[in-house]
Amino acid sequence: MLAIALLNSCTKVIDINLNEADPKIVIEAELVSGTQDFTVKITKTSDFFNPGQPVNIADATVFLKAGTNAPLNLKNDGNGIYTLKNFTATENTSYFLSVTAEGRTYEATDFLPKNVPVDSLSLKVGEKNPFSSVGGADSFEIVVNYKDPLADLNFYRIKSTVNGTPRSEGTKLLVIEDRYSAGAYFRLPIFTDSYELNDHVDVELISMSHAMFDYFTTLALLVDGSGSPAPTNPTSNWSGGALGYFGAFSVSKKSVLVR
Amino acid sequence: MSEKLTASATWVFSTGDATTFPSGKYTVAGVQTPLYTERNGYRFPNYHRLDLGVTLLGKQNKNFESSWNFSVFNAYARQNAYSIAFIENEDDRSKTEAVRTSLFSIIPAVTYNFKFK
Repeated sequence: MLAIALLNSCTKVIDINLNEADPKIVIEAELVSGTQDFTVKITKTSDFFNPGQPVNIADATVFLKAGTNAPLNLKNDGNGIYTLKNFTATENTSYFLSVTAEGRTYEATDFLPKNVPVDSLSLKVGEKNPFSSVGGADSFEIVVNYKDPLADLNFYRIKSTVNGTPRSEGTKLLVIEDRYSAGAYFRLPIFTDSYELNDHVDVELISMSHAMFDYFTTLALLVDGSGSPAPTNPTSNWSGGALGYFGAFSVSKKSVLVR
Repeated sequence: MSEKLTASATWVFSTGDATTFPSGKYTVAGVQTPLYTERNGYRFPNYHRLDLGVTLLGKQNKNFESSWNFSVFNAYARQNAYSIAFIENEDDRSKTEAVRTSLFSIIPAVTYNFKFK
């Protein structure tokens, strides 16, 4: 018994001295097809162990260009948020976003893909699976049913909002591609999450470009809890070394009440 | 028929492995994300341990030889880092802490050897 007690491995919280890096700029922008306000959020990174409140960049110049149209300037709303009101984004269009902050210019381009509509959502009773960290006897799984278009490579993200609150933990990021199943009819369970009886769930099937797929899959590698011996920052589509992303998406929404 | 005693000791030292630790933090797509700057820019704590052993020769005769060996692995119970992970503090989910996992503490061992000649 003494031997077993001595052999048990131990975990301990330790102090590590990190060379807290100079803050880097983070630019987050999502352009969704349809007409709504387009916002760009510009902040800086903070210390790892003592992050405090994020620092906003309050004096940047931001403009958006659709295809070969004239550039449109975004208005500075304060707190690092820049807005273009009531902008109509269309499918199959390339968009260019430029941010000039603190003497440097960062540029990104993304292509807004054609929308892939969700046919329906189905419910399945959850099962406890030893490989999964979600689910269990009293929970439910939501299955998203849609037809993947045969032409083109398609990339998707599935987001859910439960009773008005978006599910945003890193472990719930769900991003897929149709590389091995182009043209198939997908019945995709949202396997990163589980839902309870009486939850009102809004599900979005977000179609994205290849560049955004690369960004979100490399981001998921960092935050999905699996860890890595040689981690690296996500593959951003910003020039100039800015973190974050500029994504142009088309979205199809469906809702379901779990019962 | 006399007993003989031998003793041994080994001390192992190795500088810590190069590793990539985060140098900052930010929130993107609603998710808190670590920032990496220098790949392999950090080092694990150094690895060292002391092993001790003592061997007593037992009865010896024309047909039989035996010995008892008493040893200790990691005699001063150093918690060498097998892995270091950055995880959320259980009580305050907005705080992150570094957690070290060690495999072995002090391990004593006893061995009896015998040989028919």
